[in-house]
Amino acid sequence: MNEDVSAFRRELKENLVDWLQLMDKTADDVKDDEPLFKEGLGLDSLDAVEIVILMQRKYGIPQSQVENRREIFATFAALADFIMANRTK
Amino acid sequence: MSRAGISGMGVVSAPGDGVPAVRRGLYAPEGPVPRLPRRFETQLTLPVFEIPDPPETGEGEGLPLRFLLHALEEALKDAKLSRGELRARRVGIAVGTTEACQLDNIPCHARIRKGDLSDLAPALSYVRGMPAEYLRRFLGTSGPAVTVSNACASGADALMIALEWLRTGRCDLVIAGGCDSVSKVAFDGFNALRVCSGEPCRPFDAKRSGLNLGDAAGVLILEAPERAAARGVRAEYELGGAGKTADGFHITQPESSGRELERAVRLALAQAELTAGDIDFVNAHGTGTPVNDRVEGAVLARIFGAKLRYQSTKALTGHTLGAAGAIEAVFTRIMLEERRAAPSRRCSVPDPELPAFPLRTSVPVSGSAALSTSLAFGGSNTALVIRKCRPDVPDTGLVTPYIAGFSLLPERAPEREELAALCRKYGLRRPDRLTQLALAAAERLVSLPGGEETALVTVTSYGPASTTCRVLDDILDYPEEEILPTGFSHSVINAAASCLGAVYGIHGPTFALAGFEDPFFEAADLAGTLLSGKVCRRVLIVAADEASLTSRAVETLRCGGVPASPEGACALLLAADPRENRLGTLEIGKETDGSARLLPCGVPASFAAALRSAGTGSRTRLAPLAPSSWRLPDRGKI
Repeated sequence: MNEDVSAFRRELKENLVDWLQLMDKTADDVKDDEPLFKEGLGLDSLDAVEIVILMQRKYGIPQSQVENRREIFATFAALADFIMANRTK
Repeated sequence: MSRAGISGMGVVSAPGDGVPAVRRGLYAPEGPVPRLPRRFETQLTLPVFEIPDPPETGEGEGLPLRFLLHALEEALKDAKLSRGELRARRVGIAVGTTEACQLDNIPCHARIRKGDLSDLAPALSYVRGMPAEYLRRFLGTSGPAVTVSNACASGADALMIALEWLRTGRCDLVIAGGCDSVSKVAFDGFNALRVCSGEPCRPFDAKRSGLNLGDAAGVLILEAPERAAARGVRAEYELGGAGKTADGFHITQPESSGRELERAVRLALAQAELTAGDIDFVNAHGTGTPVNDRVEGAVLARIFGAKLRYQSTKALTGHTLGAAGAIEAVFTRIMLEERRAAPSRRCSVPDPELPAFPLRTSVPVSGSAALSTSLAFGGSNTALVIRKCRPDVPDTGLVTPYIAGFSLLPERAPEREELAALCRKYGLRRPDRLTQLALAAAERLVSLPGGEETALVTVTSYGPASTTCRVLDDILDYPEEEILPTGFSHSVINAAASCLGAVYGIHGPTFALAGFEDPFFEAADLAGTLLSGKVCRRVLIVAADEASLTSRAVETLRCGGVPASPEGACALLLAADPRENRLGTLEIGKETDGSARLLPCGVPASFAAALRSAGTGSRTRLAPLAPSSWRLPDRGKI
């Protein structure tokens, strides 16, 4: 993994914990290849709505561009890759 | 004394202003149609049932309170009650609302966050405008006054509290009701939760796509029918029974089996001394959201079987949140009186998955009892039975509760590490700050029994204030966008109650109270009533308040310019059974305690000190504060 990817993943983990105000997790608890929902980080459908809104606000990715949510939200790594590839800010 | 005869009613809502107009509106062929909101700007095209603004009172009262005052006037007139008569009786006031207890004035927040404290009038009108306390001052009564904010069940919950005050003899007349208006925060919030429809709502219809919000207020005067008869007022119907349970499942979602809703209905029937077969029709909660109507329809069919007849009146009113339970009790009594059950509007093709379809035309009523249900955020279920009055019986009397536990958060507690550990212990991911404080206080109790026989009462003045600020920031910073849904769902007053209920498995009655005039005293007093009426065996009271930009600013002004931090929490566990006694008994004082100093969570310091040194067998007194210690700045100083 190149340094950019690894640095961005680190930053995104910290941001997710902060933005979603996760009380029971730290950035270290977010594992790259674990699912975001149910098992793994344990997020739910409202969290998904929030992440989509936050991707627009923080990274300039229009909500309409977030198709194929099952794939994008499959794992933390998938989400991070999607944001890196599509961010406009 | 103990029957809750309905001796007066007042109502204002989309189908009509006043009981006579509503009486026509329930059966009129053309109902009101929701339109886009006119009181605030929005990009969303979601229709709402707004009603004309009531007259200005000149005191800056908020819209929900003005609707309430309007309905109150009609109810008092209907019951032929003068202020003099009210002052001579032991009058309780219980009001359900959501908007009146949200410190969510957007322009005021915009000023405060820029550091401009020159105009805090909207925030102070929030302090003064807690509906039950406001009515107590307005009418000059001296009994209990509680504002209950259990989201969409609040109005029904106020009626249940009224019933318990009368059954136990705590009061001999109660003014109970609910009020709400469509606010921008609730509008944006319900949209973010994906429960609003872009069309006029169609409860129980196959094509239903969500709810419409609406304005309303309803007030009922409850008292022993003989007392009403002495004034020449006939109370033919009574609030015969109330059942209240908690799913203890999720902060917004109902538990899918509807087990606790069913239990609430059965409790209400038992208290009203009726069986399911005695109920002529059910005025259902029926919001028009896919989930609510499916769960509720299934539960009602399970209880009432083939004889079930039901409707939702929300296609006429919209979902009026804290007012809904109160206005629907009014509608239910009207339908019993008219001997005609109204149809469920806009249900043209009933959802085929419903085991029984709602009424699609009005039908004659032959029985003398009906049920009204209210379901709320956080799985709070309330069922009310309205029936022909029974003969009076003696009241249950009031018992002195035992103190099974008390805890007070130390200053600067809890630390983040403690909170993180608590969240991991209970699998909580994102509790709001107020919930965290409440949980940390409850967790310090020696033991915490849950179950069906435990009731939960939460108390706050400012509510989840920092979460509310985040929602307001969201609206101000991203005016073109949707707000974050969990910000809204965690900013409601009963978020902490829902969370504590789920964590400890508490399935008994749950009430989230808000107030500034001794709300902790009111909560303890209410707990005593609930234990006396045997609706539960123990009551967990959790008082909490948190510091936010707004609550700090208001508290500083309210306390005469002395900078204050309103953050703190405490928990008090009261029980009916002497075997649960750990710290002695709790006497609820009648005379006021002018010397009391309040801790940040609204608990008198003297009470906390007495409990710290208490042991089994001791008596601890909790007296309300003298009115002077409320320290509300007068209008000239604003």
